[in-house]
Amino acid sequence: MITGEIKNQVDHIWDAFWSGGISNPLEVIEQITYLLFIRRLDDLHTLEENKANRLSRPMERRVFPQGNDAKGRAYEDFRWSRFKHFAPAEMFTVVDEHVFPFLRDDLAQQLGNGDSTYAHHMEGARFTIQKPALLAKVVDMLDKVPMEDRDTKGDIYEYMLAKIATAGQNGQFRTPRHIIQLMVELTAPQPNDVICDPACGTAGFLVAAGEYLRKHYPNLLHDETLRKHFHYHLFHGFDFDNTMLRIASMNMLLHGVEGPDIRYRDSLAQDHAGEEEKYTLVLANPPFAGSLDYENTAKDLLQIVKTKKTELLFLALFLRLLKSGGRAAVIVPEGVLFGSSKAHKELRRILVEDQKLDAVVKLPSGVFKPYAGVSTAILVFTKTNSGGTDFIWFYDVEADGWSLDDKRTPLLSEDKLGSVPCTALTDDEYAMNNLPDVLARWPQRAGAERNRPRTAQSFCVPKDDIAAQGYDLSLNRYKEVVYEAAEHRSPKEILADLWKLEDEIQRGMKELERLFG
Amino acid sequence: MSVRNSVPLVEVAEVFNGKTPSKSEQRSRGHPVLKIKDVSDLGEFRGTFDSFIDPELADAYANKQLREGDTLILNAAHNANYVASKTFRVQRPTVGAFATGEWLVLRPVESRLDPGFMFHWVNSPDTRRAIRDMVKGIHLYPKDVARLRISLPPLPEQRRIAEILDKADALRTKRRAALAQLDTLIQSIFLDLFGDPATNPKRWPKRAFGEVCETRLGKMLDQKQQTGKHRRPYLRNANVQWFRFDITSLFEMDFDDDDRRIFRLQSGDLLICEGGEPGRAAVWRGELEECYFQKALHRARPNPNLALAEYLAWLLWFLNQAGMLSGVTSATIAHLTGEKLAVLPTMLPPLSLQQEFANRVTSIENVEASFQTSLHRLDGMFASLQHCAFRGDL
Repeated sequence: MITGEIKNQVDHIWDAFWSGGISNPLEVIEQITYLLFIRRLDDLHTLEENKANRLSRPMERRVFPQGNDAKGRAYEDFRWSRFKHFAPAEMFTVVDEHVFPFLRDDLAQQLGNGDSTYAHHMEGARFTIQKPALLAKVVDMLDKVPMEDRDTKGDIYEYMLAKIATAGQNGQFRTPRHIIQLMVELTAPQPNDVICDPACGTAGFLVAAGEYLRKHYPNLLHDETLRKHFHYHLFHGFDFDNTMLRIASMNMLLHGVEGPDIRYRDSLAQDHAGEEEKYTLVLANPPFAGSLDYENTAKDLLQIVKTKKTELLFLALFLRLLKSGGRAAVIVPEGVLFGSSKAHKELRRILVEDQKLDAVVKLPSGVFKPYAGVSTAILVFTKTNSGGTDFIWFYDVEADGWSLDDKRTPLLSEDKLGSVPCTALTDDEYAMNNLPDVLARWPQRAGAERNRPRTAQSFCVPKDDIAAQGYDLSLNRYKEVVYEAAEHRSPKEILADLWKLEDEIQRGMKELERLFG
Repeated sequence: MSVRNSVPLVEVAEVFNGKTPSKSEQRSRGHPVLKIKDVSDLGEFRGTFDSFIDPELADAYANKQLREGDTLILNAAHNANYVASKTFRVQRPTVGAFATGEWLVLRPVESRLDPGFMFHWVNSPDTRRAIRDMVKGIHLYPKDVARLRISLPPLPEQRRIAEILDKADALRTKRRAALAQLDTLIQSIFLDLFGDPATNPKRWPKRAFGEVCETRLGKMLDQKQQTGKHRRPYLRNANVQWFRFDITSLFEMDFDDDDRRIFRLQSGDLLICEGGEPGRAAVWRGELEECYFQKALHRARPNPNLALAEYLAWLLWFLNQAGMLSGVTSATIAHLTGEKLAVLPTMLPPLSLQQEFANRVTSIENVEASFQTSLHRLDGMFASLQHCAFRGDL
């Protein structure tokens, strides 16, 4: 985790943008992303330089060419370590008129294939800082943020991304990191998985999956084949928002993935030839609600289910993307679980009968606050094309460690939050954070969990029961509530009370009469 | 007594606002604070405090601690109509509590103004109107209230008037209490005869609601299809309250011959709300000669060999109380769809027992009607006494 001091530094950068006239958090993060990228280019160049010096050879690969650009500026001045010492006005000229055009036009070519993902997303880069003073300030502040250590820089970037969330801009809403972590833990990514998030946003799922792999397979990067797979073939994220793509790439880069496949795809509209059955793990929280015209929807999805609803189309998409044997953990709005349209029922039937639906983890409806109060659930399933569902495991998450109001304040100290807390929780604390319990019970779903009563927080329901209910997957359909007998006074007691009241009313009338004399 | 003897209120009472403790001054225990919501619309203390401050803070503002005889007026609200709508007479359990800033406090100089007299004077129609007129924006200011003129008969006369009004008011309160008791009496009789439907301790057999009743939804309102030819009144969700119909405002739409045959209500039909408060039900007793019903309502016609409509209405009430009617789709607007209603497990005690219940309900409803009349009379009497009291005719 990053320290309070670093958080302060980041907050100051944010304030500087704010008072410098850039208040849209998404724009702030975009500009910071460019600057971090520029700083990294300099680091890369330095690395190559050092290598060349050590070996007393000319540089193999240059980020910045030798000589001057078309406007006559020395490429050497494009380097962060150089221009950071310039006076604000000059720094501004260099960055605005020279570095950015270089990013947009020449970089991808210059780098060749090495850093192409990142260079590619820089092609549309726009520099929107208007004032030299602001640029100088931000460069100075960013320069002090420690970006050497992989863990720290990833966390710093995540901390910045959380600010987009706090500000509640842009329609997509950010999946809380602890929910992402839970889904990653439930699906336990393997080093040879091929993971896809077809609505990746800032790449939160991919980053978390990467961190999970590094933690559970410490030797992963020592094996040449696995290392290559990790850097270039494991992570795939699609989005149709260019800003998000830039942020997602930077997020992956700062988390130490060299060549992830983060690319522009309109997942529901474009044909999926070439993408189908490519992936072994899908992790996603696709945008819910809204609907598409049939004309704008990929035909191969409509073949699976004829619907205009995006949340159903995404489910069809996941099935399409997955290899046989592939797993998925995805967030769906509650309507998917019980909706009564033909498409709803058919998709649920497919999941239960044709594939293997493993679990429905109902989340509390405040999970996405303050953006939305929707009720959601995590569906965990395996694509088999031959069925295999026998029991479905239900878990009713009532508390995720944060208050479920708009404030979402943590209810526990940091070491006790999330699905894998550093400190063990007491029973009272479990009541405030169910996530560790979800993870503890998940492996038992074919064993002890089968015997839990339907009144418990988690239980298993046999497939036939689900089929009998029209494939309704809402937990409340199967959960049994323990009712307590209502306490009541006997009719006799109440009648006695009534007589007493009547008597008092009678006496009151008489007294009133007396007062009038 | 006449207006000639009147004095500005400020001469005979202190008039000031309470003080709202800041967030950081609020405690989970300590010295109690009286908030607006602690007092009912009828001016009764609800019985418990939920906000507290340190005793030291309360002592630092000693005069904001309520004394017996104070009268409080709500002085600020988000809605101007709500300002001055609530008044409260400080009595035993609230004495000493700390008044928040939303209360305006009137504290009589007891050598000249009887607290009871002051309270009834504040609540008399003339004074209430005068106070309403003083509301500026959403606030009522002490300096304005202080200028109100109050007619002051001699103290013994004030006490006599206060006593009469207190006694008359107590009669109304008792009558309301008796009415509330009648409601719980029906519930109690139901539980006594049948047991709690949530747990069914008497193990009555259960059948699906759809097997007990023939049910259907009403006619869908389609504004575009309206010709105005066969307009008939129909019931909608708002008309169906628990155990009774509110037919003060009925809408009309077209019902052609077929519709009239299908959707016409008969005495003994049980009408059940589909949305809003799903399951809210009442038994139609021909309140209107010819009436129909809309799609937001289910009409259930019980099989006369299995169940009585009155029994079923109360059964639904208990199931609703136990949260067994709306649980399934809590995130979206709750609905009791035809599908759900049809499969609702319905416990069926013997018809004779249901009949006995229905009989008792009828007799209780008769008593209730006479209590209601009595309450109206008492209200009338109180208003008349109030009117006379402050015009010097009592």
